Amino acid sequence: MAEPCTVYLIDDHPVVVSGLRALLEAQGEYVVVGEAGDYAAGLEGVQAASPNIVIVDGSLPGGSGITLVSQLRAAQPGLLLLALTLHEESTYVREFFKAGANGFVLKRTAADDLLRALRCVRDGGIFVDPGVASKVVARARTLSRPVEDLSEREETVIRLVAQGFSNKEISRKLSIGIKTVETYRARAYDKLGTKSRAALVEFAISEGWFDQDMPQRPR
Amino acid sequence: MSRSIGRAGAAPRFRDRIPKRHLWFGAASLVVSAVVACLYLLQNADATMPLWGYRSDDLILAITFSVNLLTGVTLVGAARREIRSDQQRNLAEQQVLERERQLRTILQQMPAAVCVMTSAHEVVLLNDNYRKLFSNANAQHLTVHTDFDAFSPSGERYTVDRWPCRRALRTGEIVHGEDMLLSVGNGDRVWLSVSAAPTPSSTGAPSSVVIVFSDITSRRFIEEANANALKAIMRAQESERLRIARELHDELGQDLTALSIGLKGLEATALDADRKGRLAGFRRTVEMLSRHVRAITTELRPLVLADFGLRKALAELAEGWGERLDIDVDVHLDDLPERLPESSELVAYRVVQEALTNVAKHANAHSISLTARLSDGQLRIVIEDDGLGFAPSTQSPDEAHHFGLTGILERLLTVGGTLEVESSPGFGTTLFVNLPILEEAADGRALYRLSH
Repeated sequence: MAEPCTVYLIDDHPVVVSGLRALLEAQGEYVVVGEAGDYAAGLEGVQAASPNIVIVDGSLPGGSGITLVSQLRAAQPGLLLLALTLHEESTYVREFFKAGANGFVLKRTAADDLLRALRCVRDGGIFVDPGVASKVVARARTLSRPVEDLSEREETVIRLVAQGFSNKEISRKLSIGIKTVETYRARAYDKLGTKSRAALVEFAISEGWFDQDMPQRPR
Repeated sequence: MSRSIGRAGAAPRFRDRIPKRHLWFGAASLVVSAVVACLYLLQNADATMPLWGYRSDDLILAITFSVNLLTGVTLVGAARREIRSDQQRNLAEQQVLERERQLRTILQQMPAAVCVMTSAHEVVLLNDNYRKLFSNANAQHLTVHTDFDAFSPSGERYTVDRWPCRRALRTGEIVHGEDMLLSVGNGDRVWLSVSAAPTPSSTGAPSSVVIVFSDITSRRFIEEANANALKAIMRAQESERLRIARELHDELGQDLTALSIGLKGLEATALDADRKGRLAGFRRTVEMLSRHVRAITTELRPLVLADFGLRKALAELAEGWGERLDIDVDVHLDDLPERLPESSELVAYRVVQEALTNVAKHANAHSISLTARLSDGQLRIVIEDDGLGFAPSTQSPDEAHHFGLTGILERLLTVGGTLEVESSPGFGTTLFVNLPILEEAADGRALYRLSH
């Protein structure tokens, strides 16, 4: 049998840690070489034990698991880091991977998924809990330059729309009727092939419309 | 300052130029001459002569005297009419004076400061309240009120041309109760509600303007206190929610994890299939419990917001709603800074949350668009849907309540934000939320915030 894989556990809940330890050691291929209950102890312990894999909880006393992951990643680039967390929001997933994690496992399904995740990252892969994987895939939006050019008035109106002004405010700013504003806006939307303000804002940024008035500090 | 109004200035009429005593004198002399002539005629008349036997000159004389008499009578009538009209004039003059006294009493008794300003920007009429408000305690003289520093509720300084009185004079605009903050004569800062109405003139341009200043400092103070109380309540509620959410998430969540892993361990070592199956069943129950805990936690207080800030929390929120409602959610938040002051983040988050809840409840939309950007210290959030929409006749409180906007308005009130709604049946609804980022604007605000 190959040399067993060494694992270090960082979690503040003793029962979780002992459960994980039991689960891993029952497999025979993993040896838990150490455990820590908070941020500082974890950071220190991993440096000392130099395990193959570290399993990190999302929130720890003394700091967030995400910062810990990035700190460990910086210290030991070859280390395999697996996030094990209660947080299911895609933001946490993204942040963990940004920090340098190799895998992301939900505590909720850890009993089933943890071993799979370990195997996956040991093989050089990236593991994302199937429950959150779909959320992480960014949706692409496309809005290209319009086929037909916007008229000057349409562009003026649509610029203000993109800045978040209401039709009423625009009509006041440009001294034109609200209905007129609506018409210009509808025509510009048609030409751009969108109905969504968010897509419009993206288009506005790609066209550099906000370059002159990027968010500024108030007076 | 008081001048009698009535006759001054108007050209005197012909009748007014004939003094009454001349009329009397003329009338009297005519009567006297007529009487004397009659006596003379009677003395020289021949009584025996028949009436038609008068000499012709006597006859002419008699006719002349008669005409004289008639003239006298007419003059007397004229004089009496003149007396009557004079009496009427006196009465009218008295009425005018009485009106003026009434006007002055009203002016004095008004609880507001009132003045009349001419088109040359000269104050020609004022009451004691105005004097009290605008006289300089040190210099003991009155200063024109446009010489004082004034600010709008959003903190902008009034230029001289923007003052209600100037606007009324220039454009004829009637200004109704504009809230202004003034540093007045004795150095106090007072909130005033200022109204200005131009007096119409025949030439078109207003010749003067009536300006009324009501002190609303205490009202503003109460409003501010109310907003602060509401803010404190909401803050307490939010912090309690965060505490419970964290507790649930960290404690209960961890316990459930431990339980689930423990069950898994038992499951692995269980010998008979029946027991294995039952343990797996328990584990599924535990997993479901974890889901519930998570749902409650998120509902109470999204930890993403506390951990990562508004931008990511909003993206997460919109994404979640899109999934739940199975509709397209288009989000653009790139112009938001990573973090904003906590209170602003919370209000913004809750507002968007309620707006999305509304969309889910009422709108029957196919897509939602959410954009937010920070510009000039204002956080502008636009939430747009393509659902049913409604016809906003007036944005009355009732209607706001009906469309679930009360909660949003209440929250915005605590940070001085505003809400504008654009909607029409069949064309969806757009909410424009504006909130000032308070901490960042602290310098500007310190200038006009009440110091209580």
